[in-house]
Amino acid sequence: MDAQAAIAIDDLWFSYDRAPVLEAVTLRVDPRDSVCVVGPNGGGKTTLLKLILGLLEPDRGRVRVLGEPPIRARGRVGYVPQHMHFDPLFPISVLDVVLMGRIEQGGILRERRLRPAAMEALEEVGMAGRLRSVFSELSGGERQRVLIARALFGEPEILLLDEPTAMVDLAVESRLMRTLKGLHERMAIVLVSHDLGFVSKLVNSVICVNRRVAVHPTSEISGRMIEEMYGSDVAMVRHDHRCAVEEHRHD
Amino acid sequence: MTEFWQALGDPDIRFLRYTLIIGLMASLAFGVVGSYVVVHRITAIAGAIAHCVLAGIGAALYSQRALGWEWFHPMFGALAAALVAAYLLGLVSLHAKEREDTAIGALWAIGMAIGLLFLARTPGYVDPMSYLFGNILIIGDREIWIVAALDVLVLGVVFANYRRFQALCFDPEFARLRGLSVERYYLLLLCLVALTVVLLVHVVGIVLAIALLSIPAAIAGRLVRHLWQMMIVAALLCMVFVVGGLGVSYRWDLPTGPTIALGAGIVYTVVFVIAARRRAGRRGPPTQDVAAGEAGAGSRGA
Repeated sequence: MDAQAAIAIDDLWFSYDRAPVLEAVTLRVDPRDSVCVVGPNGGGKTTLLKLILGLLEPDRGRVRVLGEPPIRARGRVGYVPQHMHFDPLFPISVLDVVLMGRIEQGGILRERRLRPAAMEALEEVGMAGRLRSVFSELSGGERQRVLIARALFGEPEILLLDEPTAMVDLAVESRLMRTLKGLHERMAIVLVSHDLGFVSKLVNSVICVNRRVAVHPTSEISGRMIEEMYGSDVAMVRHDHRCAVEEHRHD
Repeated sequence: MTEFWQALGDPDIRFLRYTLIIGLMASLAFGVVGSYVVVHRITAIAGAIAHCVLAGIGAALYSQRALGWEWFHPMFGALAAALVAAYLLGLVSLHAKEREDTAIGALWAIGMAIGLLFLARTPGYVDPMSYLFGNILIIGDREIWIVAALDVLVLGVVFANYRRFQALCFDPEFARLRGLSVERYYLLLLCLVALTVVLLVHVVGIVLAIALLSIPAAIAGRLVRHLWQMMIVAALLCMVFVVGGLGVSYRWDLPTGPTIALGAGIVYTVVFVIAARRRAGRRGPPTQDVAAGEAGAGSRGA
């Protein structure tokens, strides 16, 4: 059954020092699933992402990505980091950033062959017109889309996005959502966000991470419930310390 | 300046011509490797590698004169020390993230101390200044061939790995996820820094080499849009600094290394003052884009 799951995590425990960051995590993401990972800062969202990418090793338990250990599956996973982590002075063009998506496939001499696919990825996110632009001169939303193109260029079966809506305005958000909606027919999407309003129309389940993990189908959360909880115009989910498996309430 | 050009053709002052050839060749490696140093922000590590070179030079001179190992040319000692320093500093910065700057400072001083002790015990008089700040009078045929070989090696390695180094500098985490051995390429980059520093040990010395590694690339970074353009512009700037500094030092009888480094430093300062004033002039009310972004974040944070 693991072979079919995009991501399967079984009784995973993880700690950096002694205090556990993640406890008894079990979850499953199917190949065409779109899920959102939410939770308070320091609750373990990024840690969970790093475990899925194989950048960290669990203390206990097992992570399987596309049926393989995370490090072996890396080539089939597209990762989109937060755009504001980059050096604003770095002289690099949009095309150069996208070409990083297949860095393992050889040097500059073989690059010509890869360009059409890179262009295609840029077209998919609506950035093909900017391929010669300098990455640091783009707006936050444009950078985010270029980073998505870089991940798509690697032809992933799973797309992992870390806080794609952090620091971008609402117009950019909806543009980003259209991009992602077009993709979720082809691949599993895992989105880390503290912004449930943005994702609720896109994902079919929500993974709440706060040391422990609880999975909710979006049907439980979206619609009437989200309006009742936050009012229709509020986009942020308040996941404070009530987010635990035993008594997981949204009040 | 005409005297300088005449002197370059004078068969009796061959060292001047040799210095110019070495300077021009080394400028290519300095522009290329310096660009990586600047964008990857490893100037401090590069500085530490450069200073550790003295340990190798000291050991080589000592071996030549005290032990009679004539083959152990100071440049070979410099090379060995630079590579060892690059490897150690690489390991430190990869594995001791928290106190990286302390370790860099310590290795920096240890390298210098070893070098100075060797020089103190070397029979006959050796002037440490020659190696710290350069001395073009000791340049001969042999030095030219060593520099040429190292230069080709550095440029070849960069050409073959341009994208990988770019990825390493821009987004190492992503590069690792795409299967790049980040640690290996980081160590390789530091080794290239080590080789590059050694190229100009006689012209500007190990202490001042860091000026030519960082300044041309830093200025170039302001002018270009791509990393490869940065490398070309930095290499050209480096050539200008070397030729200009050499000319000025010859005309007014000044030490070459400091003249080259100071010339580069003055241009660097002027460029940054101009850039800062331009930025200040452009600074107006916040743009609409930024304002909208802040408003969006605010409503979500509520």
